[in-house]
Amino acid sequence: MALDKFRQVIENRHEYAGNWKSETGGKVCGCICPNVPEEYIYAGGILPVRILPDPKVPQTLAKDHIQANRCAMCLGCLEQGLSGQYDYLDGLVYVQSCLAQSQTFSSWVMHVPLAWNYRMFQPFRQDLPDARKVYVQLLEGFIASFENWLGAPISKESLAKSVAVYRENRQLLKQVYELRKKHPPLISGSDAQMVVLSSLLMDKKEHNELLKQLLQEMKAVQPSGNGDRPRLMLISSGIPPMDFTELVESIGADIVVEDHCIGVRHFWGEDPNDPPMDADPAEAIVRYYHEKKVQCAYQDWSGEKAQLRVSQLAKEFDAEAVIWLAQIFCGTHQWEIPEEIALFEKAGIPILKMQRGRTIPKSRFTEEIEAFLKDVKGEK
Amino acid sequence: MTQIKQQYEKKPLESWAKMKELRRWRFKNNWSAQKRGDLAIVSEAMMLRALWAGFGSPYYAVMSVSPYWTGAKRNPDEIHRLLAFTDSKGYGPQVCGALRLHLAHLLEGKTTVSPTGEKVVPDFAWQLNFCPQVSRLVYTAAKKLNIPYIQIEPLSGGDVEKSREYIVAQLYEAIEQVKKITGREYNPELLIEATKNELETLKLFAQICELNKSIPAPLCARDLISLTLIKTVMAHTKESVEFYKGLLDEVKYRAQNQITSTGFETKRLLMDAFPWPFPRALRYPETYGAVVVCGDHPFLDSQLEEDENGNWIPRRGTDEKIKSLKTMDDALRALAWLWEGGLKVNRHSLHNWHIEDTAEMPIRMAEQWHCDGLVLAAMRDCFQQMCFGMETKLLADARGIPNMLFYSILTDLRQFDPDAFQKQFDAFLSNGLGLTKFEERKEEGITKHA
Repeated sequence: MALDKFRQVIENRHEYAGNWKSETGGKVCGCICPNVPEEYIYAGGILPVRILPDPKVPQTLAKDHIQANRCAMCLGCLEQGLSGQYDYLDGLVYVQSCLAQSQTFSSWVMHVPLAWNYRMFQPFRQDLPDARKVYVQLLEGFIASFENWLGAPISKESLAKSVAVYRENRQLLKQVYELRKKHPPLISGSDAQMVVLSSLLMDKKEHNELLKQLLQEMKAVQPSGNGDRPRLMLISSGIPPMDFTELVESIGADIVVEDHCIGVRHFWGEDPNDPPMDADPAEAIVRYYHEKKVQCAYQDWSGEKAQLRVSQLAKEFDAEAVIWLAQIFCGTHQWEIPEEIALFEKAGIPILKMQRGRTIPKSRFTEEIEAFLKDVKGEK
Repeated sequence: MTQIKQQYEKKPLESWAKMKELRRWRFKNNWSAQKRGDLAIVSEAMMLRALWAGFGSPYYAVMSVSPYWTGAKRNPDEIHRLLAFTDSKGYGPQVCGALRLHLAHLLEGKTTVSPTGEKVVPDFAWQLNFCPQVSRLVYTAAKKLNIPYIQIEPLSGGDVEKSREYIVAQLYEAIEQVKKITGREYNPELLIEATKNELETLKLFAQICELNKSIPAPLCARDLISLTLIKTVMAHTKESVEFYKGLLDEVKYRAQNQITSTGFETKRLLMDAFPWPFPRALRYPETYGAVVVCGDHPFLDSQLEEDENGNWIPRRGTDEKIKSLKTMDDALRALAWLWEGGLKVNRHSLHNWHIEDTAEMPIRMAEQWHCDGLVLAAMRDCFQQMCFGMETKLLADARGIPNMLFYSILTDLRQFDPDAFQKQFDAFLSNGLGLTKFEERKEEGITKHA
């Protein structure tokens, strides 16, 4: 089953990358945050993998470099780097997202030897032609540095192939999300998150094949239950631990969509009306990463796009309630929370705000979620 | 315990009175500018100030989201009240402490009301996005006040030339937006004149900062921090240029004649930030005879740069820019150039977040301002300023440079223990630097005489 394979990769992500390296003789490049135009890296025959924390590991080494009151995401990622979990990496790239992840990159490149690293800045305004021009120039800087490390230019053909693989991946992920619109959803929230998370870690071509297999397997799946479980949307800063969704679903609700860094913020924005293949594949990269891709709260500083997006998602996926799972010490998303709470309350959609640290306190959360679900269902 | 022995002449700054006068004028002007026919603009930590002079006058009002923030941050009870208020509105401790005070005043309706009850509705809000939380605050204010919002987004690093072009393009766009909003014409001559003043002001301030390399330092960091405000709000005016010219002359005289603010200087320190409700912290080392002479906050927005040999000097090219400034485009480019300049010294700016390049900066600065130790801040309630301290401390430790790293705040007193901080400071000054507290000042603390 495809889901088993996704689970295996997630549980053994370092082993997967190490095996890929030894089998292909290729290089592996770490990517911090979802704004890295991985298509270039992939076109160069290198495996891009997203840097992720391990919530089970305490952050002891990282706290010498980053304040303890930074988010668990940036501390956790750095901890993995400093402790040698990512010792197979040849390169590391960070494209500007939030300051906390920027710190992860800084301390990593200061203290962990790498053959290559690159920090790319980017303009966040999507409405201004000059911003696009600047983005293209900054991207050219990244490409030049990458090709210099690679020792060869990226050919247009290999870039076109890479762009096609990535676009297919995003489109297939969207198809998986379509299954969640059904009543009841045909795939659970925790399985859907596992699918997305594994896409950050795997060779995208292999991931696409597994996604196709999954979609095929899902055709035979019969909906379980009668669709009376509350349908929830999860909004969160960073990447929430996988066991949060599992916990919510074990209590008796379905998470039907999520707006966080391994939810729609990772792959949304691909426009089905875009030309299937650009004459210039680089244009497709600029269009996606600068113009279309969902911006995080750091980039969408006014929060307008986020508010519009979460409202639309709630409608599109028919979510009847929302959980806003805030990560403690995340300064990036904090202005959003009260405004989005007000937004949903105004729309008559129940919303529960919860706060997590590196891990989730299961017994306390269980009580809170149970009480919330009673409210949602109108039970006493 | 040792007795105070005066080493040098001690004299208060003569320019202080002028500075206070200008600050008072500026505050009053905010409530009267619009009546005179000038613009009233909401913005925080105003930058590129000359830009708006082109709409008729350099004496437009620069209104903070909270006109009463300075007073509030000196009053612990008021801080607690305002923080509790924003907590109740859902803006908790993860939102910048300083901005929560602003936000509370905004939500209480104080932004547009003068101390005497006059109401001013600003023409528009604008923000240079040096911090996304600040931008979000000003944007929130614009929505609440129902006024247009304009944003300039600089690049956060990378190629300087590209960043400059990007800013300039946005400045043109912003001018067109304000023309539409206000129906006013834009006068490039006024922009050019104001830009020359801004260039001159910031050059003068950098020269003043450089003079603090003198032994003894003619100014202490507390002086410098107070003196930065005039340029922050009115660097583009001729009054600002005149003020800093007078100040530079005075500081030069003090340096030549070993006149100080303290009368002694047993050790010199760099302090990169301080807990804002307790500005006394900047002077606390004086109870041991040590003086803070430089740092990020004391040199805020100054046009200092490092030359090819690593020497910190006032930024080169300012005079040439002033002389060659002829057109609107020249002026807008000069403003973008000034923005870049401010980054060269201020690590705490959002736009200097490549720590791998900047972690060593305070160490080099401390060497050139002849410091004996570093006092580094790790921020609790500002996500921007919590970037730098740890890596700099590791570098200083590796090189055997005496240093301390303390957890600081902007305003959230609930996250700060002044007694613990003072004990840490005492330990550093006595054990780390080998100093002894003056007998006459042994009762003084961080919170006393704030």
